[in-house]
Parts: sequence; structure tokens; C-alpha cells
Amino acid sequence: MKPLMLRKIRSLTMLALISTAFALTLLPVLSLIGTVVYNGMSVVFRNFPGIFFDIPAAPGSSEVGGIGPHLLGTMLLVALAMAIGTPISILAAVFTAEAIKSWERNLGRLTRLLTHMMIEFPTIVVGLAVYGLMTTLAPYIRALIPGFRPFSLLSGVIALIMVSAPYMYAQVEDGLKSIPQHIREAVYSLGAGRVLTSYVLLRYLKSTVYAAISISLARMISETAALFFTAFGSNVYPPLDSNLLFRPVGSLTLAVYTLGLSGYENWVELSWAASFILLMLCLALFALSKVVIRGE
Amino acid sequence: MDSVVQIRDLWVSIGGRSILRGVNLEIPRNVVFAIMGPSGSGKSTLLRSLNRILDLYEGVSVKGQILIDGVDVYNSKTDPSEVRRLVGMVFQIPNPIPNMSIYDNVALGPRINKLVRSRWELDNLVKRALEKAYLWDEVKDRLHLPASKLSGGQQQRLCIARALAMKPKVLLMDEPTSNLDPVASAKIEELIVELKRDVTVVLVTHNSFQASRVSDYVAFMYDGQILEVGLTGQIFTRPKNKLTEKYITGRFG
Repeated sequence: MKPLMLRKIRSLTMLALISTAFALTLLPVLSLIGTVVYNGMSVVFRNFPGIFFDIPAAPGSSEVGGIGPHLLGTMLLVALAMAIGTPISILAAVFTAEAIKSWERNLGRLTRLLTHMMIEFPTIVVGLAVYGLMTTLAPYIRALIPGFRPFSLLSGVIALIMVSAPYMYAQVEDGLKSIPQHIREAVYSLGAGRVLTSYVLLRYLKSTVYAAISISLARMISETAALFFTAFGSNVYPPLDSNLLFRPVGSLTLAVYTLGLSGYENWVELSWAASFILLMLCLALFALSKVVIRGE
Repeated sequence: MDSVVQIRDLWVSIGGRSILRGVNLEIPRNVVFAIMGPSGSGKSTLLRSLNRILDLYEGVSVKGQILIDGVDVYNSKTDPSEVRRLVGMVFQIPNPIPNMSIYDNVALGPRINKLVRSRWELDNLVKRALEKAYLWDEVKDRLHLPASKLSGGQQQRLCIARALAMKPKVLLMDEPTSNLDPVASAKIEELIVELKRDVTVVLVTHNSFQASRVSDYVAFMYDGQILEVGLTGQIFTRPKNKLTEKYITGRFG
């Protein structure tokens, strides 16, 4: 009888400990979402749907205005960076994982080493490096494109690719590496060359590739530090002309930072609204990726 | 004798270690040709050199000549994909692409090599390949389910169907039953005997009983060399080589 009691007590104690740990893990997540929703949602609905299109109202006024330029900036930055970064990352991953000749294998090993190192770089340093590079190149680029500025959409796109492409590369490469050799040999044995084999293997890895893409997307949307020295930020719409790439643009994350630190009450409120929209975007992306992966 | 495979003085080393040391072999058309021998004797490497799957490994060097149906396999002008179209392969572990449907697995080869021009032609090809692999009746109502839903034995027959859909001249089988239960193995063995009507089967096995049951010819490999080749009946009743005799009587290997 006694040992049974003892066991029950021990089991209950463990249960209590685990439940507490669970609650402690959940608490910060819920409080984060709660705070942002509480402070941001009301602002979004105060000027709905103008919040998505308007520019910020004059600082100190009773209006809030909107974060249209920042939303557009994020969309431009992320769309361009994804369009350029995704094929580069996936092709590099395929090259590394499907290397056959020894020079290919060695180059692949070097690529993997450097990329894994890049993952660890502080993103603010990446932004600074891109800024440095663009500043150095600026005189030459200006010879071709007179309006070019180092603080620009183009710099932002390059910085975002440098921050996020290594992740996508690593995930796809790990996925390809995890495919058993006998599956790879099966495809080769059917007469497929390397390009076709890689295509079949990537299709086999569909869910990994989707996951890699959605995680990169979320990382790009939420990246801040790399954009300080590159996209720079802007509270107005950029003129949609041929110089679009070479002018500063805003982004949601930069809006959260700059508006939030501005000290003007209406801009601080706008910063909460930007946080709310940012959070919703990331949560939606997270949910979407879960649905896509489950659908596989 | 009309040989479909001719191997002349084949030397293979991987990472500096020599695996095959001067292999000479002629394989006649439309027979089951078994290669048996203990683990590490080079059977699998020999098989993998025939369709140049060996190319995928690091540090492989091949010397010598292999002719398959007139194609000089290791000639620098020969495209490995061309060789692999001619030579189907079935592996030790059943390896259909798990999340691909049964139909798509069989259709993979014809699609990769653009063997068919219409959906109707492809349907027919897939059906015939599955019939030849004795699998059609079991899967005809669920062709679009993922291949991973099949049992191990069915998956292996699916892999045979996938190889057959390419209409190869030679079918390489690398211990195709070693991961299957006895009933599934028996079915595959039965199938192997049937297959030789359409294709030459080169079967690697470490199971000498299997070799005696299904093959017409058998070669005994040891330490990277072929010690003895001959008609199966002959080798199993009157082996000339002492090691062959020891192997088939189960005294080593």
C-alpha cells in the first residue's frame, strides 16, 4: 500500500512540475501576442482600411494616418528578394548535395562552410557591409544610373537575400542530403541526368522546400537590422518610376522602430498598428505553411 | 554464343582500394545469370559498374571494357543516361519514390526518357509493366495511391515494373529479396524466371540456394575476381574450384 501512495505522490509532483513548465513556456508567447493585439488592433480599426494605404499623419496631430508606404516597401523588398534569392538558394543547394566530380564536391563543401558561417552573422553587420559595398560602388553605378543612392530598395533587397538565402540553402541542402542514396540511385538508374534527377528529388521533398520558402518569407518580412543601413526607411510613397530601385523605401519593421521611438503619441500608436500587422502576417504565414505541409 | 553483356579485364577501385581485379565475363541473351559470392567479394560493385551507377560514388576509377548490346559503356563518348536506359536496376531495399503514386512510379522512366507520346500510350505501358511484374491485379484499383501504401514485396515488384517500363535489354537485380519475407521472396523468384523471356536478368545474391533455384548460369566471385562460371546445373553438381564447392555447400560465406 505504502509504495503505491509514494508512486502516486511522485507522479502528481512530476505532473505539477511539467504543467508549470508548460505554462511558463506558453505565457511569454500569449503575453506577446496579447500586448500587440491589445495595443495595435484598435489603432488599425480607427482608420480602416486607410491604415493600409495612407501615409502617417503629421506628428502630434490627433489623426494616426496609415503605414501605406511601409507596407508597400515591405512588399517590394520581400517580393524582389524572394524572386532572386529563392532560385539562387535552391540551385546552390542542389549543386552542393548532388555534386559528383571531386572539384564539384570540394566547391560544394566550401559553399556549405561559408553559408553556414553566414547564418551566424549579425544581420546589422550584413546591412552595414552592403551599405559599405554600395557606397564604394556608388560613383561607378552613378555613371550608369545618375539617381542611384546607397540607401535604396536595391541595397535592401541585397541585404535581405544575404540574411535569408543561407537559411533556405541550408534547409534544402539538408533535405536533399537526407534522401537515402538508394532513392537517388533509383532515379539515376532510370536514365535521368543530373538536372532531371534533382527535379524529381526536389518534388519528393516538396514539403521541405515549401517550409524553407515560408520560413525565409517570414524572416524577410520581420528582418529589421539589415535594413537600417540599406532600405533606410521612408514615410512617403516612393515615386513609381524607373528609379524606384535606387531610392530609399520604408518597411513595416523600420516603421515599428522609427515611429515607436519618435515620441509623438499618434506615431507611437501607428507603431503599434505596424507591429500588429507584422505579427498577423507572420502568424498567417506560419499557419499557411502548416496547412501546406499537412496537405502533403 | 550471342552475349548481351561482355566484360573485358575490368578493374575497379574506390577511394584507392581495389574492389574488382580483372573481371572477364560474357552473359548470354535471355537467361538468368546469377553472381554469387560472400559479402565484400565485389558482386554489387560489378553490378553497379554495368549501368554506371558507380559514377555517383566519390573516388571511383574504372579500367577495362564493358559492352552491353553493342554499347561501349565506359567509352568517353557514351552518355551514362544512354546506358541506364538500356539497363534496368532493382535494388536491395525496395525503393519506389514513397510519396509518388503507384502509377507515377512506373511512369517515371518513360516520362524521363520521353518514350511515349500520348496519355493512352503511357497508360498501356504502365499496365503492361505492372502485369509483367505480377502486380496489376493487386493495384489496378488504386493506381493513384502513394507507393508507400504497398507492402514490402509489392513495393519490390513495383520497382521491377518501374524498371521494365523502360523496356531494358538487361535487368540488374542486387539481392532483390534480402529484405523480404519468404512468401514475398518466393513470388519474386517466380517472377525472375518469367522475366527472362523479355530481358536478360543479372542477379546478385549471397544466397546460393536462390541462385540454384532461379538461374541458368552462375558465376562465383571471391575477392574481386570471378573464380568460376558455368551452367547452374554444372556448378552446383560438379564445381571445379575448391572455394566454390565450399561456398555452395554452405561451409563459408
